[in-house]
Amino acid sequence: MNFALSDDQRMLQDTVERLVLRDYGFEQRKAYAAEPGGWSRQMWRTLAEMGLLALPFPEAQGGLGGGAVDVLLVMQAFGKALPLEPLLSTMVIGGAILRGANPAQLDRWVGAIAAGDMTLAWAHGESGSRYRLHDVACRAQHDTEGWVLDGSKALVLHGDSADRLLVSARSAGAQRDPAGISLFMVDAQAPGIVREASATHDGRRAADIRFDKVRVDESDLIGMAGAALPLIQSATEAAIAALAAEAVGVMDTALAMTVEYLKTRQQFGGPIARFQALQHRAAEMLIALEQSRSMAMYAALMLDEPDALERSKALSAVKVQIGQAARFVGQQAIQLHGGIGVTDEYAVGHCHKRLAMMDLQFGDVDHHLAQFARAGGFISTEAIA
Amino acid sequence: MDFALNEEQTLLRDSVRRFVDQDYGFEQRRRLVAHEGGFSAKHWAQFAQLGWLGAGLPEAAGGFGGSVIETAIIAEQLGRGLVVEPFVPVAVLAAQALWHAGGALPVLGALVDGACRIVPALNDAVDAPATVHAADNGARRLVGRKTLVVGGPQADRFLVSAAEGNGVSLLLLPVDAPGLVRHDHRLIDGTPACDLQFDTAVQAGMHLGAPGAAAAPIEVAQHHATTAVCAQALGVMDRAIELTREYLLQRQQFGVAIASFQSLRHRLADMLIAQAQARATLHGALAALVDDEVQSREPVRAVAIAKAQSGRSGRFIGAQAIQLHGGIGMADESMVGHCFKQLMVLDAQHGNTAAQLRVLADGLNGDLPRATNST
Amino acid sequence: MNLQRDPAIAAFREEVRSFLREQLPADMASRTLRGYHAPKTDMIAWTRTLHARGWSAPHWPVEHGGPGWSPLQRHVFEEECALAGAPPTCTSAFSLVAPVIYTHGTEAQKRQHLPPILRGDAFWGQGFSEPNAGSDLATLRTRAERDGDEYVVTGQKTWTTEGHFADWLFCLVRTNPEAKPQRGISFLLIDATSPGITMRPIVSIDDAHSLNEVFFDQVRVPVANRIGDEGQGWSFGKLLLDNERAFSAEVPRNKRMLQRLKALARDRGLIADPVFAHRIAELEVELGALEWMTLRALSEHGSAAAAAWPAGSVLHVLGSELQQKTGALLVEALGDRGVVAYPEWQGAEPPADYPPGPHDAPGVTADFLYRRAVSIYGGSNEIQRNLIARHMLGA
Repeated sequence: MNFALSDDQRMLQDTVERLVLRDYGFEQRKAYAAEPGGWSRQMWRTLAEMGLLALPFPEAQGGLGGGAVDVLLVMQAFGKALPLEPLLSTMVIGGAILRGANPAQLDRWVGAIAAGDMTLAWAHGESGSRYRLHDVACRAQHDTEGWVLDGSKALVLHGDSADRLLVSARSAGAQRDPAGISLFMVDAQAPGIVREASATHDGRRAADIRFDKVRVDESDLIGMAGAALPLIQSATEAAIAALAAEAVGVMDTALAMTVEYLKTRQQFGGPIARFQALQHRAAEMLIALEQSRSMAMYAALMLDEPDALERSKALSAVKVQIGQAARFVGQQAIQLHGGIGVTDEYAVGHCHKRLAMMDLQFGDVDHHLAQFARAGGFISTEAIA
Repeated sequence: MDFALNEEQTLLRDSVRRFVDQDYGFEQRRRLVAHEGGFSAKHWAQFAQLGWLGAGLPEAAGGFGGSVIETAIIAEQLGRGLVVEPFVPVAVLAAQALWHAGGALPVLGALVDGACRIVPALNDAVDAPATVHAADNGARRLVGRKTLVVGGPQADRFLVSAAEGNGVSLLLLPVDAPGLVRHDHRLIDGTPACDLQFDTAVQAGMHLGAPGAAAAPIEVAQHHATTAVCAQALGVMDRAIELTREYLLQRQQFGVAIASFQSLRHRLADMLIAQAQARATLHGALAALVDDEVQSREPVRAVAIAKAQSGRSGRFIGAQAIQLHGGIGMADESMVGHCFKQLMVLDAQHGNTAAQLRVLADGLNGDLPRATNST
Repeated sequence: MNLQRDPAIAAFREEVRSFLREQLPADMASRTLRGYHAPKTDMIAWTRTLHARGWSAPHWPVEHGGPGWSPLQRHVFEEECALAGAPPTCTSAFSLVAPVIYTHGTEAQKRQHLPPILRGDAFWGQGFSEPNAGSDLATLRTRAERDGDEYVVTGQKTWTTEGHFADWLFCLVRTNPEAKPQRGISFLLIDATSPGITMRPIVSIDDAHSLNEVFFDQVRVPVANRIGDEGQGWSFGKLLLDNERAFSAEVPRNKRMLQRLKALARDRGLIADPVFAHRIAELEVELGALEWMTLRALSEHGSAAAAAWPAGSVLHVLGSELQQKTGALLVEALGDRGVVAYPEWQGAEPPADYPPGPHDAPGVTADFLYRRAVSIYGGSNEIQRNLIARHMLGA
């Protein structure tokens, strides 16, 4: 085990960091947010050209065969920009879900994703499902021509602008049965789909999506019908790991802004950085950030853990820690900026909102703490005399 | 509503404060704990003489006509001295239980006079809750175990709660009752305490009130005692903050008094805030208990809030007092560590913060439980 | 960055476990796990057992007797020892003074002191803090006056852990009162049996004797016992404190405490209480993060990446506060028995007339009370936060 970056890894990280420095300053970000969909098509093309959208996909299909560490580095570096683009849903979740796709599907989709021609949104959660992955009411009826979807999905991030929707729907069983869930790649323009867009707390877009007798072709069923839960679980785990890395990037930015502010803001005859109470608050932020940086690495490690229970425990622990740290860092950043921290014009408020949102995605602290506790935690009591 | 003490209350507070300042200095306390069994009969006689043992009892009970406010005033000042004599267990918990269960008994008068120390044993051992069993021939037997009997080694009588039939009974036992075994020990703050084990015949006259009907008087007594313990803890917090403030002003490092370091100033401020919260919730409990017109479940909630806050504030203040003293805070010679330990002891009595939160959470369903046999 | 698990580590862990199963006496393990301060006899005996295997100094360079382990192996070794209940070896000797001796000492000093430490034949105490020099250690006043080929040492040290066990003391003393404070300090090795030394016990709030005050009254110390040159003591002291911090997250101790907490909670039916289970789970998550941070810090130690964050201070703050939180929950798990004063006992059974309570209660609260010190010693958490802030904001 070795935490130092290889040359290739350093290059990957540097490339993304340079992109952020050059093209993703706060003013530039404001302009991107004003575009249709709330994100920049040009930035998406740039990401495609840099090969980043192809990162996790198999090389045979035009991907880069990248692993968890590569995703970590990219998400962390890009996270510093508080990015608006559907990178996590397309590249990370898409990458995880398509592990269950057949070669013909990979041929159809990977190239398009990598080229930047196909963005994805993760349409899994429903109102009332409260982070329970197996809680799916949306129905998929099989007939001679393929599948018909009926139901609703709630708060699908980037759901308003996505080209395709990764949709979970129940082909068998009762609403909370683990078995009977199927996964589909659905054209967002298909007849019967109604998308109601809304702004998220952190300034991005989401959609409540209604499916009214939406036809889906057989060839768009991913994996075996009724057996999608394990794939959904591993996609959620990959998302958590990627989100953790992204959160580290956001926290990095929040802390950097705060440090800069402390050094430059003058009150009582000098920079406020000389006040010990503020120094100590900044120190607490750094502690939380470094904990999170370490936990994001741990998440990347544990994505490859073959034991499903151990893996899920680890990712729950990561999400708990990241959620707590994210809230804390976001709040402290505002606090240390004083009044200016709550204005919309200033970037630090956006950090706080983004971090608060990240706590809520893929399961909040309470949810994952309960999961972790139920699974027995890290330390077994069996070994004790 | 008036938060100021009236003249009598001010006199009362000052007299307890004087006792602590003159007779309960830290060195005197150390000697008492280390060499005199953690109890002074002379102190107890003083408590009686000054009317403190009956301060919260109505005159009809042989007391001096005060309320839980008077007991809180006394308890807080005793807390400032980290007093280890069992004032709250005897003068509040036992006295109130006796009064509400049995009325104006001679033994209650003896308690107020200081002649008879009645120590309550209400805390059941989880695996052996005290129970009164009736045999076929009508003979009754008390079996089981009580823990955390504060002041037990100095008891003249024990006031014991026990499950009986479908309810709870209160029994007054002599310390030499056959089949009663005491297991004396000390708590971490030097307070004498004991476990009690029973396999004892229940004689006539031991019951206070009707068998199985003591739940209500026990609940009232618990409210009073819990509130008094919150007040006592407030006094300990006060001492801890005072010691810390003095230390920060006097200790020099890096060429200045460490009181000039902002992080320490803010920590002291946080301690003060925590104390203010404890005091405010104590007021809430006092108000709920003295308000005759409120025939509601309000005392249960207000007392739980006060005790929950008391534990939380006490643990924070105690720990930070040590932290701000640096290495000295770790030495047994320093009073501040003893403040922390007494705050832990007070938190453990009558239900710690987690237990109080459970009461409050249960209350969210609109159904606050009655006080039970265990804390 | 390669975050794959090292398959050889599993085999190493099993090797350590096997060694512990065979060599760690059950009664010694019980004593250690109880949570009172380890008796000197246990510490020495265990050191000798480790030494026989060549494992008594995991951090030392191979040339001085270290086993040549990677940071991860050391971490695993310490964890297994802690969980099994192996007593500590003398930290002051192995982890504090020895690195100063083998890095900056003369060959004669290395020859004289390192082998006895390694074997468990020499126990050491630290003489740094003074009543008026705690966080502000540079103002220390214990004076070492040059007299021919000896120093005459007069002054007072405090908070000397296990000073009453010590054969030797390592002290920061003032050799030059005229120079700037840091420049006038030297690092002296002092034979604890020297005439003029008085060791006075300090009873701590856990009612135990681990700490001491040390009085020096005209103690004669050979100049040859000085490490490096006069005036270099402060930099050696800093090196030592930085070392102490780098391994100071105390993940093994935290794990042992959490394991104890879960066992206690399980035996009292508290795991079934979802609220209590959550509180344990929160501590476990923190411990997981702490461990992972420690591994990262160990891996980065000495490299350029180490400069990116003040690892030692961050780990010290988190590791100490986690011990305190875990200790508090342990006390709470005991319920009524959490506030009973359980005196220390080292035999197989507690003495007759011991306070009542379950067998797993003694030592929990005493340990919790002593752990108040972890946020104070080695640089208080306030100082650590100053250092972290300085890393970001400059001086």
